Amino acid sequence: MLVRVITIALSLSLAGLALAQSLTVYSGRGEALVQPLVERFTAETGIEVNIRFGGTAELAVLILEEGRASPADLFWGQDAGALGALSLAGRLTPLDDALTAALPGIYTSRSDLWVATSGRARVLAYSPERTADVAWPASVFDLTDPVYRGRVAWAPTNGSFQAFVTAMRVVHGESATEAWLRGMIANDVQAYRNNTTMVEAIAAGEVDYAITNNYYLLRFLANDPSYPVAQSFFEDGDIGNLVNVAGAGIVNTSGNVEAARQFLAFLLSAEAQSYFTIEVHEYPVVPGIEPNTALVGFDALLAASPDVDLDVLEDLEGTLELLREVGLL
Amino acid sequence: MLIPAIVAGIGTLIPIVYLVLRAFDADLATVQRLVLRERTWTLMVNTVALTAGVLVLSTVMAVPLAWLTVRSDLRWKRLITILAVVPLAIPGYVVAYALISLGGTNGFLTALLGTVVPRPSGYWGAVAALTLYTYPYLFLNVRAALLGLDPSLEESARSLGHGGRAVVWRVILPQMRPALLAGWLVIALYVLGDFGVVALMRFEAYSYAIYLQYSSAFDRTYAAWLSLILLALTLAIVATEGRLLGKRKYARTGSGAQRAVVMTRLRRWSPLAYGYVALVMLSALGLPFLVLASWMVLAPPSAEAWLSVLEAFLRTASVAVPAAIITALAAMPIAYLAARVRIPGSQLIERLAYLGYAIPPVSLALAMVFFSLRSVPWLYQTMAILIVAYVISFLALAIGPIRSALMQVPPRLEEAARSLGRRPFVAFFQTTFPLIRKPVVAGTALVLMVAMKELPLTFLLAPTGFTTLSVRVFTRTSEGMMAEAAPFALAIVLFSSLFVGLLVSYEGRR
Amino acid sequence: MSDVTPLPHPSATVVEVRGITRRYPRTEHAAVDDLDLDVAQGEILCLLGPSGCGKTTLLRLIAGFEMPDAGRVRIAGTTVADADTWIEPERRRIGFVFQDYALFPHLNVRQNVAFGLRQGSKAARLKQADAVLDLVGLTIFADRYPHQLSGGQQQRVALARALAPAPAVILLDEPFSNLDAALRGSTRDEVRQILKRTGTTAILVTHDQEEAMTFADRLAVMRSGRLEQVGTPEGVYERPATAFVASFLGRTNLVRGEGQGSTARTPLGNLALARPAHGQVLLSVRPEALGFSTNGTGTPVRVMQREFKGHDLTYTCQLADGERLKVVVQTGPGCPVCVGDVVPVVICGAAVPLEASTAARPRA
Repeated sequence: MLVRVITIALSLSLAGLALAQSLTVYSGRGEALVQPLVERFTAETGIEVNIRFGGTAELAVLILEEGRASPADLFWGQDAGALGALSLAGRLTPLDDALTAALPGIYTSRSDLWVATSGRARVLAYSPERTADVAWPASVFDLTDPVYRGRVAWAPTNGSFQAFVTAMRVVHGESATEAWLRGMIANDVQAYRNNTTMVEAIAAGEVDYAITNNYYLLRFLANDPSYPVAQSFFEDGDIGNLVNVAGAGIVNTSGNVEAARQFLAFLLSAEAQSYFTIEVHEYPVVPGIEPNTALVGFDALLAASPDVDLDVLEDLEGTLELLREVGLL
Repeated sequence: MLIPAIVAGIGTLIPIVYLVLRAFDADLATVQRLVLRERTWTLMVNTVALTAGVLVLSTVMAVPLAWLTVRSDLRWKRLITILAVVPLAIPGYVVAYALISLGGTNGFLTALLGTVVPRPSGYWGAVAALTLYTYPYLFLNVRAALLGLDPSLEESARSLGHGGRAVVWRVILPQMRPALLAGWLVIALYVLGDFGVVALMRFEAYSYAIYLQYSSAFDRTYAAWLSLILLALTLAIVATEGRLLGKRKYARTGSGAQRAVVMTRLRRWSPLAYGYVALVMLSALGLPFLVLASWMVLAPPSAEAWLSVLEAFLRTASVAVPAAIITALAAMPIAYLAARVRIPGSQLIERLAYLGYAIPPVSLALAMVFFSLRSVPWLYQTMAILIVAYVISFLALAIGPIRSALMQVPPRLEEAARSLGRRPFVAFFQTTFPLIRKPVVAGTALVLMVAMKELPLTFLLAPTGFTTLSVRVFTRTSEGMMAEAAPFALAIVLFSSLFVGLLVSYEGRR
Repeated sequence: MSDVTPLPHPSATVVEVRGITRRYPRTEHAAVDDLDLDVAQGEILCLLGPSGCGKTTLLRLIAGFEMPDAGRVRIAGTTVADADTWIEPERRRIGFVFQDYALFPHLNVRQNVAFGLRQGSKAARLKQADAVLDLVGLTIFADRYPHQLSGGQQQRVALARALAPAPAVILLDEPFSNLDAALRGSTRDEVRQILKRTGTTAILVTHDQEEAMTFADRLAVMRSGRLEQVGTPEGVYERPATAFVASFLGRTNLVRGEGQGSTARTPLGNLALARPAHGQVLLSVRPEALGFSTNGTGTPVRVMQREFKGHDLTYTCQLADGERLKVVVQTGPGCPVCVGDVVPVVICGAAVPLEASTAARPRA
């Protein structure tokens, strides 16, 4: 048995050597979503792609731990935090301008070490039926108003929510953010585990509003067009309309930078962007992509989103401290 | 015997050495700031409270169930036994998710009762979820002890004038002590290491804090400190178990044959008993299946999807099976050393194995990354490293049953074989091994089941592109694709249930 | 027992133990302390001693289940353990019969007996096993499993299993202690006959002095890890070397006296000595060497207690100075002496002067 195991192990490691010319991607994005894209990439370029699927954070830590020996060529994560941690540790290779030139400011990091591959906007989901008589809140800060008492849901443990709080801390300051968090709690905000359950909660009449990401509702609507929930942005530029991103960067120890670059370029190509938009209900990061009719257009999104640099979203520690301090974690 | 045991024991030291190295990456002031703060204490209190809660609740669940299936005239005992063990196979996050989806506006309970039942979360949510899938460890232990309990002890207690309740307290429970302690130990260590459930239930235990460190702050130093504190807690628990178990002897002292057990008649209590069994089964098995089913209904899987389930299943088995066998092989010398050899350090190696079980999987995986890249880089991201990590992590599971069995086999048998010209190794395999074969198989099966659903070690250490069933479940649920994940989760549960069934029927043939 | 005991011959020593010592951690005294022992070809030696005296440890040291801290063991001319040598138990040519028999529960009787046979084909080995089973009279149980046999039968299977490979020496660790009294005597006789018939050298450990005396060609009395006395059962019984041996092997009266060469002055009067002694001595006087005198001579004692044993009577008496004496009278039940009587006691035969115990004596 042992001999068999060793044989398998050796053959696998040899297989790894044989594939040295292929690309190794550490992906925090899910298999079901990534696999079709990768197949198209391989069909177009002939480059084989090995993907290690896992938690975004764990894979980032894995690259940190692997050090110079890391087999990873490209890291593709669900959020800015993991990419930020890799940039801070000097583990990402600067990208050339050709790759990032087409992207608007909200989709690039200052250091040009990584790029967003798709955007997910924070929105306010609501029940059209039960909110018809209430004025639409201009800002996420308005939700502390007594008129929303007990009617709003959030998901304080969710990564996207935490990134949003981080942005708020940077743009509006610690004390304003803390005041907002405490105000929301005082206004009997309802805490949920994740975005999906919040959308379900609106449909079930438990709450009337939810601050969530844009694509969860769209997945419900795709299955059931009469689903009784809608969503919309706050006023243009409000922090409540923050655009979170999934993103990717090339690992600095990659021996395969050219292939990694090709893959990154492919992720930013019209083909891949359109896939994210149409299939995954996320926002494209480059202009000129045929819009998903359920999403606002590219320019409208840029107008709505606050001007927050991606690098701002990298540090979560302060946010976690704050959330703990106000008793949310 | 000694050398493989020492090798296996040293294996469990690898992650500890790694954690110490990482922990002292930081300068002393940083360490003080990180470690000596109130939060460390809060986490400690939370973790201990969580462990205590799970132990109490799992005892309340497991002990009556074990008694009913061994000593009462309950019907369908074999079936109930199998069903009672199956929750072991259910991934923790499925159980936690099932509990969460009970409450709230769309919850099953809400629909059932017509009034909104709050979602379980925090302390009680975590206690409930952890209990629902760890209680089988205690159930299995207590059941085995009840099966081995000599009825003449109870009868002699009765003849000495003790009533039913006194017999339970003064005879049965003391005899159950080693089984309870063994079960509690495994559950306690599981609770210390699990982060899936506490993360979903948002309860701040050590494991959750460690997880948050890795996931939000990417801080390996603080995570290492937290892990070390967790290990200290583990050591304390293992030592306490050792002390409580003491040097008492629990084997039968007489030499007469053991008599058959007379089943207690439940009579008017039987509706209560059936109700109780049904309640436990519904919450531990019904709930998770309901959740899986509801995910499947959302989007019924295609034939192609089932094919990929089969493929992932075979791939999972290709690593879990060798891991389980190697773990059992490694557990045997360690259990042998702990049970038989009275030299200083023989117990220590066994204790080390328990540490391996309690090390947070992410820390263990990173330790394997650290060491394999520095010592055997050509083995990095191969099955071999993954299997070694599995062995370190699950050794304790296999040691438990093997050690208990070894304690019941007289060492004289091997001495007899040696006086008849057998070398020690041959003597062991010709005399003791045939008598402990069942527990060895049971231990192997237990490891296999747990390895089948293992997640963090697998996705960090497996060869790139090697996606097991649990990785497939994870990579779908992480994108909110519950329906797509369901067939894979179901495959884990069904496969493991099948295994439990085989195991229990194999044990039945005594 | 009508067997002819072969005389031990120096050249035919099968087991030779020299200066063997075994010390367990965290204990004050060595379990076996610098002990010498020889066992001759075909001899049955009984190691007799109270529990905890180290006799089982000594047996396990000879077998190789324990490693000595010092000393040497030779079996059949081969050194199996000394400072530089260690031969594993399986290569020592020993047979071991355990107190609980240690029969393999997963093998039947024939397979148990054949377990130690390594030469020849499987059929030949099973046939050989059957021959040994025949020797112990268990042929009809060959296909049964150990748990289907009675204690005495299990005992004989254990013996057969140990005998089958024709070991140089058979080591028996309290082999009869798990049998009930009725079975014990007959099993003991059978085992002894089998050992004698096969000319097997054997060392048997027991704490039962009656068993030791009936079973042994030679007796070795152990105490606190040392040998107190070695000799034939009769020799040891009649001429005990120490008070410990005297009282462990049957009942005795320990009497203080003043040695004056071939006699000693004692509270019982002047007694003849089995060997010359001078000065303060402790004497062993067996109860059966005492009797009530019918002619008025002797030392007067008061009868305190009378125990009727069927074939004899035992009286516990008190001397004038308060010492107690046990007096056994081999008479029919008709001895007229009653509790409370004052009667004179006489000694027939010699008193045995005792040495200080080796266990109590500091070593040079």
